[in-house]
Amino acid sequence: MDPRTQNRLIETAKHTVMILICLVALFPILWILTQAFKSYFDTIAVPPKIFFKPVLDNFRQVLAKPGFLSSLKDSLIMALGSSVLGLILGTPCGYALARLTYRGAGSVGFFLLITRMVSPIVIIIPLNRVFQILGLIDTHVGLILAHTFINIGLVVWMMRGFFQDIPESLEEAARIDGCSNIQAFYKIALPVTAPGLAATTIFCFLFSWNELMMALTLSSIQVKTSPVFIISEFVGYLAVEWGLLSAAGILTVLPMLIFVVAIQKNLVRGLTMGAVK
Amino acid sequence: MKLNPDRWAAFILTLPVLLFLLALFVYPLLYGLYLSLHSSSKGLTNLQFVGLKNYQEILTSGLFWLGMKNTVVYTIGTVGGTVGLGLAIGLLLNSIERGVWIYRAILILPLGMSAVVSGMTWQMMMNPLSGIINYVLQTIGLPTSLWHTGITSAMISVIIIETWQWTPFPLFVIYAGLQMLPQEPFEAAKIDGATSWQRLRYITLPLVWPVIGIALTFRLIGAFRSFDILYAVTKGGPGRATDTLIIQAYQESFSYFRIEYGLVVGIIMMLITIAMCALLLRRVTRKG
Repeated sequence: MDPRTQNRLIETAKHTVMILICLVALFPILWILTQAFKSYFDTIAVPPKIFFKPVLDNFRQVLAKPGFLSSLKDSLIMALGSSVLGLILGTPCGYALARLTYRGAGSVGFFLLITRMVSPIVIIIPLNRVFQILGLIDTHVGLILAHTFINIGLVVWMMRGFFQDIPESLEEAARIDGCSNIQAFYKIALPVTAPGLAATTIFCFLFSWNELMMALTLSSIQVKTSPVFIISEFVGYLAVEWGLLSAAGILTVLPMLIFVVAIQKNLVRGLTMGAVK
Repeated sequence: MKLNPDRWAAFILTLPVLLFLLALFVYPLLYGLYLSLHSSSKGLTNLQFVGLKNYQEILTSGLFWLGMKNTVVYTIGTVGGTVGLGLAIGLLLNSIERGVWIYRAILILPLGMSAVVSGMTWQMMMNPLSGIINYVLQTIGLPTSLWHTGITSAMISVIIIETWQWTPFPLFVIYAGLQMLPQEPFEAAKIDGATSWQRLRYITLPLVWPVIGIALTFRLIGAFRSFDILYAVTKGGPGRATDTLIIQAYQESFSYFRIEYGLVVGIIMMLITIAMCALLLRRVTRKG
C-alpha cells in the first residue's frame, strides 16, 4: 500500500473513532430531548421507542405546573446575585495576589483554594443553624451568600490569572503618573480585563445554577432552585413522570449547554482555577 | 516607619474576601467543631460536652468504614475512568487537524449538564425494564443488567455516570497541554527514526505529565466530595451499595437528624481534602 492511501486510511479511522466518542457524549442529551417530546405512554414504552410522534404536551404541562417557572426565577436570582457579589468581593483580592508582593500572599491564596476544594457539607450543618437564628434560612439572601461562598475561591484564582496576563507596563506607566496601587487596579487593570470578568461571571453563574447540596439544605419552600425542583417534583411514590421530567430538565440545561460552548476558550482555565491556561 | 504601599493596598484589596469568609466559613467551621464535641441528643439548646466521644464512636463504627470504602472505590473508579479516557481522547483529538472545532463543541457538552439532570437522564436510560441501554444490549445479544438498581451493579453504574459527566474536564485540560508542546523534539525524533509509540512514550507523556497531574489532582478532590449524581441516582442505595461518606453525612444529618455524624464526617473529609491540596497543589499554586 502506498503511503498516501495508508495516511488516508488512518485519518478515516481516527475520524470514525472520534464520531463514535461524540455519539456517546451526545447520546444522553439527545435521549432526554426525545423523551421530552414523547407522549406519556411513549416515554414508558417497552421496548423504548426511537421513532415516535412528537408532541408538545410535556412542555405545556411543565410550564403550567406551579413552581416550575418560579424555580427557574429563583435559580436566576441565585446565579446572578452570587456571581455579582462574588466578583465584587473576589476581584480585588485576585488583583492583589497577581500584582502585589506582601507577606501572607501565599497563605491567603492557599486558604482560598481550600474553601473551594472542601465539600460544603462541613459548614452546612452549623450554617443551617446560624441562618435559622438570623432569619436567613429559605431566603434569597441566605442562599445567595451560600452560593457566593462556593464561588469566591474560583473568582479570586481565575481573576488572578487574568490580571497576570496584562502587561505590567500599563500599570507602571499609570503609577509614574501618580496613581496609587488601588487606583491602578480599578482605573487601569479592571477595564482591560473585561473579557476575563465576563468569563468568570459565566463560570459562577454555571456553578450556582447547577448547585444542589446547599440549595437542598438551606432553602425549601420559599426558595426552590431548579435542581431541587427537578429532583423532588417528578419522582412520585410509585412512578416517575419521565416526560415531564425530561421537558423540565431540557429547559433547565439548555442555557448552560450554550454557555459552556461559548466559554470554550476559558473553560480549562476556569476549571483548574487558573492552573492551566 | 513608612508602611510598605504594597502591603497597605493588599490589605485593602483582600479585606472584603477575608471578612466574607470569616462569616461564611471560619465562623461556621468553628461552631461546627464546637458542636462536634457535644452531644445534641437533648436538642441544640441543651448541649452536653462529651469531648472526643463522637469522633471515637464514629471512627470505630462499621458504617463509617463502609462509607470510606465506597468513597475510595468511587474515587478511584471515576478518577481512573475520567483521566484515562480524557488522556486517550485528548491524544486522538490532538492528532486530528480537520473538524476539531466541532468535536470540541460536542465533547464539552456533558460539563454543562447539571448533575441532577444527567443523573435523572441516565436513570431513565439504565432503567432495567424500559431503559434504552438494556434494550440495546438485548438486541445485540449481550447480557442485561440491573444497573443502578442492583446491589452489585449500582457502584459501577454511578461510576459510569460520573465518568460520562466529567471526562471532558481532564480531556480539555490535557488537550490544552498537548497544544502547547513545542514541535522541535518531535521532528528531531522523527528524523532519528523513532516510532510513534516511542514518541508518545518518551516525549509526549513526559512533557505533558505536569498537566495530567493537575487534571488528576482536581478530579481526585472533585470525585472525593462528589454528591449530586449519587444523590440524584441512588441516594446511597440499594442497601448501602453506593453509600459514600458525603452521602452518609448528608443523610444522617438531614434525614435521621444525627447531626454529630454529619459534623464529624464533614470535618474528617475536610482534613483529608486539605492534606490532598497541601501535598498535590502547593506546587501548582506557587507557580507564576
